[in-house]
Amino acid sequence: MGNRIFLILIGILFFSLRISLAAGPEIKIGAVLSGSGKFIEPSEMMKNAYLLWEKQVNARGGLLGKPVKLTLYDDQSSEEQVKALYEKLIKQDKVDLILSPYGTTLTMAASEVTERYKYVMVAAAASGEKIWDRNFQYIAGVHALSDRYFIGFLDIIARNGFESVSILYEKSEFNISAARGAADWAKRFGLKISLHEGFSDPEKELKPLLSRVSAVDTQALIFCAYPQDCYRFIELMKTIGYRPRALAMTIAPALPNFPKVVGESAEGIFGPSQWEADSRLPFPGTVQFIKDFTEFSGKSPSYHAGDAFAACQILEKAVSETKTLNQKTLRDFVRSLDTVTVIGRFKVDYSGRQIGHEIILIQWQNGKKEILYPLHMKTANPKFGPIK
Amino acid sequence: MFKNRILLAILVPTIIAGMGVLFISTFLITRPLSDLLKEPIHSNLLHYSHMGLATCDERFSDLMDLHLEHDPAMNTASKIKALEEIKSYQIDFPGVEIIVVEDSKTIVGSTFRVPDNSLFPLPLENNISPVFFSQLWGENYLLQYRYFPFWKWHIISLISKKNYEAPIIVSRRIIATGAFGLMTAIVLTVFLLFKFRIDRPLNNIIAAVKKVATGNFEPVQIHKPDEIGQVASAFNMMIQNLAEDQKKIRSILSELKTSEEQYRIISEHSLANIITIRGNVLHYANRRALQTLEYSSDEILHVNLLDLIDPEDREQIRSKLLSLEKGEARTDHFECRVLTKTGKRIWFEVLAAVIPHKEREAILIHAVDITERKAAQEAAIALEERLSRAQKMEAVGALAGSVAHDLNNVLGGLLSYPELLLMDMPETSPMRKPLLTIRKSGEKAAAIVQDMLTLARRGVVVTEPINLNRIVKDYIKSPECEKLLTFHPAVGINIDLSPDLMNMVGSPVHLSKTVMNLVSNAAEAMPDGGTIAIITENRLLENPLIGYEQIPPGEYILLSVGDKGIGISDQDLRKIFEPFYTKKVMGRSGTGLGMAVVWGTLKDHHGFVDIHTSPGNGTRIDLYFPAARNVRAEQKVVSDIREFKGDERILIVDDIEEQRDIACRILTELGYHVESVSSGETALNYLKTHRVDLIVLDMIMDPGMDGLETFQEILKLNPGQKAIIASGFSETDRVREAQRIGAGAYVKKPYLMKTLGRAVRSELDRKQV
Repeated sequence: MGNRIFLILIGILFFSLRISLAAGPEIKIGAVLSGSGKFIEPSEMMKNAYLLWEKQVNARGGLLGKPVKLTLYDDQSSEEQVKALYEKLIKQDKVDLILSPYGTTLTMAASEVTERYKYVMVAAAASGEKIWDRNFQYIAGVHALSDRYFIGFLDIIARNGFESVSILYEKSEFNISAARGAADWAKRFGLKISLHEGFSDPEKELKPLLSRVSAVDTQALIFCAYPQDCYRFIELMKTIGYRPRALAMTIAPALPNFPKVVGESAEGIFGPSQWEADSRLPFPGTVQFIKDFTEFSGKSPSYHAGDAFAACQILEKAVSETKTLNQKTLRDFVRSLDTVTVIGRFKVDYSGRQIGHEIILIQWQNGKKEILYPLHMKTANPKFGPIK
Repeated sequence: MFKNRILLAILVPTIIAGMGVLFISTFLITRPLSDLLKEPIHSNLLHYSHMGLATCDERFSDLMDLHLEHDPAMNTASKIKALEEIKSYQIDFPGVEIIVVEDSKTIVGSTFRVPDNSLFPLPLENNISPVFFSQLWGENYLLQYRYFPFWKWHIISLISKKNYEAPIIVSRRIIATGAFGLMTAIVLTVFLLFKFRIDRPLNNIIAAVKKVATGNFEPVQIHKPDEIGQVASAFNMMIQNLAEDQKKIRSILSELKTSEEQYRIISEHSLANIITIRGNVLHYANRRALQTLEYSSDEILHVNLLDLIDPEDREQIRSKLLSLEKGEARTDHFECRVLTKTGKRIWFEVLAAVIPHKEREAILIHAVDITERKAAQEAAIALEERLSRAQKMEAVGALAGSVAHDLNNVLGGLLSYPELLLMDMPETSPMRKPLLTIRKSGEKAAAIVQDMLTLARRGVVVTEPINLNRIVKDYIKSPECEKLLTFHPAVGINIDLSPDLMNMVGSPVHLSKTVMNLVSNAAEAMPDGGTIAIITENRLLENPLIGYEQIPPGEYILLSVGDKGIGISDQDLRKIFEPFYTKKVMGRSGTGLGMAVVWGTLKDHHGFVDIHTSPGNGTRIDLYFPAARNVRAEQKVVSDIREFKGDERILIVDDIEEQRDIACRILTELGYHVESVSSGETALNYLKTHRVDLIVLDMIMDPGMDGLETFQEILKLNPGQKAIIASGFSETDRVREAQRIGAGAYVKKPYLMKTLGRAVRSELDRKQV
């Protein structure tokens, strides 16, 4: 009995010690985002989402009763920088939790550091397939995988009598994955692939690539690239007066300022989106998030913002539910979690690959984004260009 | 044909209206009803295929959630599950079938039995199709496709046309049956009501009416005081009145018939031509008018009256009819010429009056044929004109004759003494020329006097057989003609003389004068020159020729003198033969007696004249002289004065001393033994004691016996006493009487040596028969 009481006391003491340790002055959370370089635009969205969450979580009393302090660094869209900065956050800043950078490339690089230091990374903006083939234990994805980006687009055009599609892609991990997935699904939907080519140097290759695609008999075109290349490609198409009946692009069409950048050319362009700032979406907290983000940043949130905020929600849920900052505990919790965030369902498989979240297909119609897919979420019917 | 016409008249429109209502209601009701019925069927079709597709989507979503979309076993299981679910929905869509077909047209499932191992027979599209009809395995279906690309399934909802149209057909039948039943009920009701409430009472009235038609005014029995009963009551009142009215009508009809008959008789037997016109168009013409105008009663109707009027009177009649139509006059009386159907011209005296006719106004025309009266009037006027002209000529002639007789006696001295003086005067005497001038003036004066005497028709001897051709030829060769042509150098003469021209009896001198006057006038009528045509020919008139004069039938010698000159106006034409009426320049030519002399000569020869002229186109004057078929023309012998000499005893009987003296001197100059006395009585006394070989006997002596009486007495005293007659006047009946009883030639005063010498010698040489 005495031993039992002793053990209980020891336990209480240990628990109290843990509490007291955890209940330090603040919980430090670090993140690296691109303040410059090609990922600056989605990174800006993510940054505002992280800061909004920091503000809101602190307003709610912080995590584990402690205020949250967010440390952000700029990786300049560089893999080396991102690695170094995460190293710095863990080693020097001794952050308690980390949040992910933007994009598959940077996430792959950053995750090498976090995996080495066994820090849980809820990857808010990475959908490249290869991330999940490395057998990393401390990473979990928020994004649906890039190879599923165009299922909705292909399904819709197949149902509307399209028979052919061309696929162009930038030879980056994310875009290669997206293009490959598009090709696979096109075959599944019985569509003929008229052209399937990648490019490395957009300055030199886009123009001849456009000539080739305009020469082949294709009804639809999927262009997988980051926003800057998408803008350039749209400009080139406009220059030669070419436009397939259906055009889908990665990332750029999902950005709220897409029409401001490309003008009227935005009309009718399809794009996959992890999430959309649409109050008609049925997920809990979505409407409030859109409102808060807009008030906080002065901009409408893109899916990058939504994804980043969702990553924060998951991390918060993990800490709150496990009441610990132990990375292994948190990893186990996250990997077994099946929940719904502001962007929808979160559920990962054994590799951390997101399997619960569905990609949304949007189309710019009359200057605004309409959701077309999944069909049960659609806000409008698709529109196609004239039959040539 | 149908007994119950009213019933038909009610039923037929009722049936037609009912049919119309039936069709309209069928059209108006069945169409929207069909649409209403079709709509859920279409909706079911769309919904069922949509449900099918949604089921597939759900299964697809499941696979995606599980990331097992590539797993064949899961796909197969999902497909089976999906098919089962799709089929299970059929209970919610009665009549609608579903069939799921792969892209290869392999049928993967259906809610109905399809032919074994069969492929789907219709072309497939990767799209959402509209609802459409097509034939499928021998039956018509309404179909709708949807495409599920993940499994490449075509989810086709379909309904057979039979099932599709069944509710529509049923609804149409219900409506048609209802409408037809309603219409039948209405028709039957109308029929029965009509039969019992209208037809029977009406038949009673009809029977009564039929009786009335046969003259039996029997009242109808009234059963009910309804509308028919009221009609029957009114009918009874009516037939009562009818019976009374019938008597009156019969009486009126009888009177009307009599009246109409009288009017018809009056009109149809009227000697007047009666017609009625309205708007100038003939609406009625009586028998007389039809006969006169030579039209049938059918032909005359609708003929325009103005077309029957002679064009010369048409405007005048149009104006009169217009005046009547306008009401400016109610009656009119006029004469006009009317053309019959065969073109015969008839004079009508017309009485026209505006009358009411068939509720409008018409013009009643009474016309009397006055053609004969008009002809008579015209003839009378012509006769009067001719008479007046003859009288005028006679009066002028008498005046001229009176003056000429006295002048002639005066001229005797003026002509004879110069001649006598010249005979004794040497050729070199200075007095010879003045005397010749005096003689020439005297001769001219004598010519005028002769014209005047001719005019008085007292001096022409027409007993000489003449061939007019010779007269014309002699004239053409004469100095007068030569002088005329010299005076009118632009004028030529063309003669066309009939070689077998018959002879006539006449005075060559006067006829020559006539030719000369006519030619002279013709030349004068052509101031710019031209050709004068002189024609002679025999002309036989079998009918009277109405021309300037009316020329009776007979054989004539025609002398025609024509020119292409200025012509003669109507006004001048009437006066052309009047003495001293001339258009010529006085003093230049003519005496104003030329045409008067022609007239006188013509009439002395019992001839006639016809004139063809128009202003600007010339004039042709045709003289008709009676032909003397059996008279031979005398050959004229030109004698020397010496042939007239003799020594026989001659007694001159003349009441005028100068004439006695001239005759004595001429005959004494010719060698005769001449005595003279101043009266017939003195001559008788002288002859009682003396014998003479020849007596020159003046015909007109005043006072005392004239030449004829004296000669008659001388013959009593000395039968066979030769004598010649002398007179200042033309040959008269008394001269001819004297010649008949034995007197010789007639010598026209004044005494000229040639004429007197020739006459004396000729008579002395004539053997007694």
